[in-house]
Amino acid sequence: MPDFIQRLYSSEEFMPHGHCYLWTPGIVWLHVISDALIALAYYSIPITLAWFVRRRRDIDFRWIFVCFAVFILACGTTHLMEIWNVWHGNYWLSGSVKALTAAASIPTAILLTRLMPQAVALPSPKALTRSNTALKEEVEMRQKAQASLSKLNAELERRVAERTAELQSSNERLRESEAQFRTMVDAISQLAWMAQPDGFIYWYNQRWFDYTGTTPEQMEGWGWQRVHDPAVLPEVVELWKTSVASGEPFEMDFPLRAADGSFRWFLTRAFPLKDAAGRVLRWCGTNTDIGRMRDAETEIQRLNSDLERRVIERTAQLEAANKELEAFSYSVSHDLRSPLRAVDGFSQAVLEDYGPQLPEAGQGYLRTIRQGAQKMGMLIDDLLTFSRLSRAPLHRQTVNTNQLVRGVLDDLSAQRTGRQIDVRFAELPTCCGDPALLKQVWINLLSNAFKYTGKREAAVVEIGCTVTEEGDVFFVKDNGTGFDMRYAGKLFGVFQRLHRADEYDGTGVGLALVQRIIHRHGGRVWAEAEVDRGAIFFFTIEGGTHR
Amino acid sequence: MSESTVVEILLVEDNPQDLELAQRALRKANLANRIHVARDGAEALEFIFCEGAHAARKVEDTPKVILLDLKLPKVDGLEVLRRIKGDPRTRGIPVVMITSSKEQSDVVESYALGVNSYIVKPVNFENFAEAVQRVGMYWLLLNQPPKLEE
Repeated sequence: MPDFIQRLYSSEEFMPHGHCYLWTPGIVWLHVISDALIALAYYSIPITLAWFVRRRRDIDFRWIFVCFAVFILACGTTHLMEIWNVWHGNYWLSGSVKALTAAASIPTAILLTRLMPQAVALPSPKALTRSNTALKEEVEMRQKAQASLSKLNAELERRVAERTAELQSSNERLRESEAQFRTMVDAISQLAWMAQPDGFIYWYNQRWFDYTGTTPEQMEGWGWQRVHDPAVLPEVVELWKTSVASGEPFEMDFPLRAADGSFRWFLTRAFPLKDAAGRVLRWCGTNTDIGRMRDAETEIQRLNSDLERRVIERTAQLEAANKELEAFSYSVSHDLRSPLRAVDGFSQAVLEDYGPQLPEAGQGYLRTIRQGAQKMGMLIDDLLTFSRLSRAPLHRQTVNTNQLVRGVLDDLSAQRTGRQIDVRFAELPTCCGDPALLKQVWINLLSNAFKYTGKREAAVVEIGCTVTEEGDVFFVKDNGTGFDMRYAGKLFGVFQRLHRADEYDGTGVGLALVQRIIHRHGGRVWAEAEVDRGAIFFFTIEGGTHR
Repeated sequence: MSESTVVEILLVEDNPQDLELAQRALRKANLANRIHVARDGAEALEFIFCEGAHAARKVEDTPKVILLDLKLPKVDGLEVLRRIKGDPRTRGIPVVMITSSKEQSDVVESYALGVNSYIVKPVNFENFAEAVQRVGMYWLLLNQPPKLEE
């Protein structure tokens, strides 16, 4: 190897190339100078290319310029070798340089060939100018568009700012309204809550937590069940689920446990908040404490049932008393009258059988005994009548008062026989009552009027009806003996009499009976009188009168 | 006279005083000839239906009129009335209820059972006597005018 290198730089074996030129100076220098100029040119070209490549780093296919530079540099070197060989026959070295040049030039040529289609496709400067113009126009257009876009952007930003301000203000209002709502729901005495459409409760007011003594965590969703009475809870849950499913308002009374463990009753109502399509958005519910109301209701019910029980008891007692009274009346009717009949009957028998044997005084006593017995008989009869009519059932019907009073006047004709009585009789309205009982009223009042006018030469009895605030008021007026109004309170009492028996006979039952009958008709009876100037008896009948 | 054995008036009365007064009233009206007195309802029924002490009597020999007190020991007046009016043999006998009672239910029931008259005993003896004489006379006259002519 060192041997080969030695030979390569050795020029001893070959004669210099100048010998071929015969050392003719003209031809030697022509070759030497031409080769020198060529080499100079060849060496300058790669430098220019290198400078170009360095400056135009953006350019495509830079590697081909490198290839050219190497190739031309190699070519330049061959020409320098030509000059060297004129004086030195160093042909191995110059051949090697040529071989290197060939090695550099052949790949360059191949690569250039392969590059050609791409080089052909490269736009021409004209086309580039055209596209440049188009590009410029487009750039202008884009700039214009950009300008209007900027304008629009500014507008948009302004509007966004406006809208933001609006939103802020509406947010402010919303916060205020929300705060109002919170204050309100915490201020009301009710417990309040809100639920999702599916019934899940997500909010309670403070009152709820204050009353139940629970926390929001405990209460969330279906946690409210823990403050319910387990006995009522299933019903509550079912009703709430039904409402949630149907979207219908919920309303129910149930107890809720307070923080101290006691239960109070609440009226609970929940309303669905719906959107335009009718879908439930949420539920708003309240629980109103109705404990006191319920206690009052319970108390009323208790009192009522107590009252009812007592009414039933009292009614039973009264019925029993009535029965006893009936039995008593029956007994009185039979048993009290019997001895009286004996007293009267045997007194009469004595008078009949032994009258002549008795002194006048004895006969008088017997007559007095009989009078006493008969008076007592009358008292018993009147008392029984009073008792019977007081108990008799009331058969109300329309009563033709005119006819009734005429009938009574006929019945009492015996009482008027031999007397001058001016009976003034105005037209009377019909009324609603028991005809038999009302007849008894008219009999008693009219017979009283006839009786107490007994001492009048010209008796006047007036029958009529006046209209007052109370409605129609019937009256019987006489110009008889009257009575002292100081004793008016005794007038309607049983066995109460305002006159001595030797003046006007009677048992003191008649007016008591009148009052009893009128009261049973829901009416009122009263009298006005003056001693020796006569009396007026008034009465009303409930249920109205008709003319 | 065989007819004289036939009782004209059956007087059913438990109260001895009322009985005596009634008898006196009938006597005064000359109606006391053939009176039979029963002191309670059971005795009255025995007589009417010829049982016990009256087994020898014939049911067909009916009294001309029965004066019946309402309130009687053992069997009461209404029951006696019901039995008399419930038997075809005795249904035709006029029965006059004589009682102290003015109770409406008694009156209504007596008429429902077919009583012929109803008089309330007044306290006043004259009125009582008059009533007894009037009904006694009326029914005797109505049933057996020839008897009274004899």
